[in-house]
Amino acid sequence: MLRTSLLYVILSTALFGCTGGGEKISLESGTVLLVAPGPLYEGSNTATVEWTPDQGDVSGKEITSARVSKIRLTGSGEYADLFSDITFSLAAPGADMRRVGVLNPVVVGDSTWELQVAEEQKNIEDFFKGKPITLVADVNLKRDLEADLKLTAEVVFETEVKK
Amino acid sequence: MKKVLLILSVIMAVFMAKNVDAQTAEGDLLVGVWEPSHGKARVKVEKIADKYFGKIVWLREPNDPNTGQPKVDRNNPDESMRQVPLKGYRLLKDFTYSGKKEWGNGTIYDPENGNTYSCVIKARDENTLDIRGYVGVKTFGRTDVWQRVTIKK
Repeated sequence: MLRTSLLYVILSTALFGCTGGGEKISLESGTVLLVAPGPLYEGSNTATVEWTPDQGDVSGKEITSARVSKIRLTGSGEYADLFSDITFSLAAPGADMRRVGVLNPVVVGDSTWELQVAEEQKNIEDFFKGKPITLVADVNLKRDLEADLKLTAEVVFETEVKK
Repeated sequence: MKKVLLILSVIMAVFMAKNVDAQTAEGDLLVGVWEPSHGKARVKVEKIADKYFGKIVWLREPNDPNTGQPKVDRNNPDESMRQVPLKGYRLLKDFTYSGKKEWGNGTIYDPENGNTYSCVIKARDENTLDIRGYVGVKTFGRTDVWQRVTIKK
């Protein structure tokens, strides 16, 4: 009897422990502008922007886990045949850079790109420790570009906070 | 007395600011385009969010001989990221300048096997780097010598 009860306690702890039990909150970047100063050469170029999350609902709470669930980039119509591929990463002084999205190949004619989000996303919560996050878009250009490259990004994070 | 203290603190502030500038300039020595000893690729190092990152900007053989398509990161442990192209791939990540022409706390990715190693970079001079990738402790590692592509005079 004692053994059965003990087993039940262990199993329940394991089960409920795995579910986390935190409050799930979505954080959206809104529309932010990433820029790579021109002139740019054919090949890989990097557009960046520093973004400070408006933590609203999670203010003062500890984010225990986070992952990126959506990355959408938009550019001018001139870019419709300019990119061969796009990758998207997060960087911050207190966290290791994480690649979180990719689009390869880029379909000719589009000027809005929905990136495939990485399945493995480790320690994304480290980016929410008070410092600005640098959003990094690496684009492979098919040809040179004289002007600055400007892309707007909308990124959605699914977070879990301690209740 | 107050005046002396004020002058001293101004002098100290200027000295500290100059020291930080010098450290930043020395750290930025890593920025540029570098070629590993095998000569099969060129890596551009840039600074993002106060850290240094290096990505492949040139490949001697850009296309996969089996598919005829541009090479991708087919050995990535995360299957969802295996279509990331190698041209533009960021294989040096998160390096910080630790002084004495050395950069640490970073990693290097080997696309040939999909493994990521701890890494330390030491500049022999302005145009030569020792790149040491290792597992656990620096003793168990391998050093490669990289040359700057555009020689700084």
